Amino acid sequence: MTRFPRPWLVSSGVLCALLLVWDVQVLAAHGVAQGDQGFFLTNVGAAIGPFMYLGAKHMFTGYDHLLFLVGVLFFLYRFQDVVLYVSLFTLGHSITLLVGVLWGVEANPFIVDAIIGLSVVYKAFDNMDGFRRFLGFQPNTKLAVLTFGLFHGFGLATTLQELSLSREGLVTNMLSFNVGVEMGQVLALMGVLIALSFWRSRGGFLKHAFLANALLMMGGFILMGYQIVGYFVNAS
Amino acid sequence: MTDPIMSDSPMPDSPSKAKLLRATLAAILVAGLVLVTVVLPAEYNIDPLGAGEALGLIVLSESGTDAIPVRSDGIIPQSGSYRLDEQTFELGPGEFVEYKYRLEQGRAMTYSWTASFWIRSEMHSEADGAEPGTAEFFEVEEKTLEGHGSYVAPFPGIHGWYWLNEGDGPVTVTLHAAGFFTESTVFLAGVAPVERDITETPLEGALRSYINTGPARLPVRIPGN
Repeated sequence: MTRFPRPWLVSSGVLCALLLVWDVQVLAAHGVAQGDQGFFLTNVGAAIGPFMYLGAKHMFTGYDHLLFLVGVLFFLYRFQDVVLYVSLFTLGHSITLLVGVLWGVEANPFIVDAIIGLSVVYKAFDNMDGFRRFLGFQPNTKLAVLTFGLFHGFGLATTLQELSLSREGLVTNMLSFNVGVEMGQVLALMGVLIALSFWRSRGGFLKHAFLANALLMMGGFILMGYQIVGYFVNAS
Repeated sequence: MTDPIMSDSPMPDSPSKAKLLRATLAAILVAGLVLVTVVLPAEYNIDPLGAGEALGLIVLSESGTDAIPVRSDGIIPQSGSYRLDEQTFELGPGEFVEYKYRLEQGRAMTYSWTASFWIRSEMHSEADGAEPGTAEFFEVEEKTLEGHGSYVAPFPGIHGWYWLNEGDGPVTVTLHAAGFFTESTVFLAGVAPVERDITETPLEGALRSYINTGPARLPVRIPGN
């Protein structure tokens, strides 16, 4: 079933390793002990490396983004489809990340993160063929990925703005963060794709697809509940 | 295929509405269960079923450390009375003293102390309502001559030092502290703890004399004059 060319998988593994080494070097150069927050508090001006690293770290350690990507990639078998959908997602979140930071749009992080949780639920239900069953037609999946990409970007913009950026070097730093986000995403995607390819080649993939997506949906509901309760706790 | 809707979804045997509803409800139920028993107790200290307590997760959200508002510019805003305090303790061989300041949660102090010879020092805090004898230790030094730092109380209670002279000769410990405390407590061997008010700071005294006598007495240099 899998049509991923073998050289592509091998080269992705090499790139993963290279990125990890690069990450570690940035870490070592900047002293983790002080913490990311400490760096942002004292940083003035352009700092390409650190912002790229933090973008990559945010994406790579952000389980909400990762769960959504697992949902999007779940039934994508062809390499060109993967590229298409990931590009749409990237387009969506880059637009809102750049616009959000430049215009200083401040969205409530709990609401944004609850919508990101909802995106996981939506995609899992979509994978389970739920929309076609209940609505009688398939909502445009490309449009859905683009739209939820916009919300994920608002989450990224909120994260970046919480770090109290100085105006000096803002554009450079924001673009560095965005590039880092894409690198982290590529890194995470490779992990997801390798795991999915492995699972598909082992068989039992389609048999357990329904259960897997039900679990994905549960993860989305947990994220939603976590953020919605957080909204009310912080509001009171 | 009995499916009335021709499906090109990769999902084999497009699931029935009933199956979809069951799966969605199950996902919501399990998610709710995980939220109520694990996530909410650990993250927000909300524990309606007592499951977080039973699993020992409450400690994660109970620590008030992250409740201290640190502004993004690095300032930790303070309120209340600002005090300066200075203490000297003479400790013979084997003697100890404990000296602690009352600080509410989020109140800050800076401190600097030196000892005339090696001494054992334990910086620790006792939270209000904590069981007697339980304390949170921040810095324990077996043999040291000094300690300097700033401190923001992670919880309301008394916060300070235990100094023990483990040497053969006398040791003098001199402490300077400034911060948003109004009282301190001294613990000595064989004596009941003594609480004392730190009512007025030397700074306030200096300020008062400045107000009374006017600025002319202060050494002010006007450039180019």
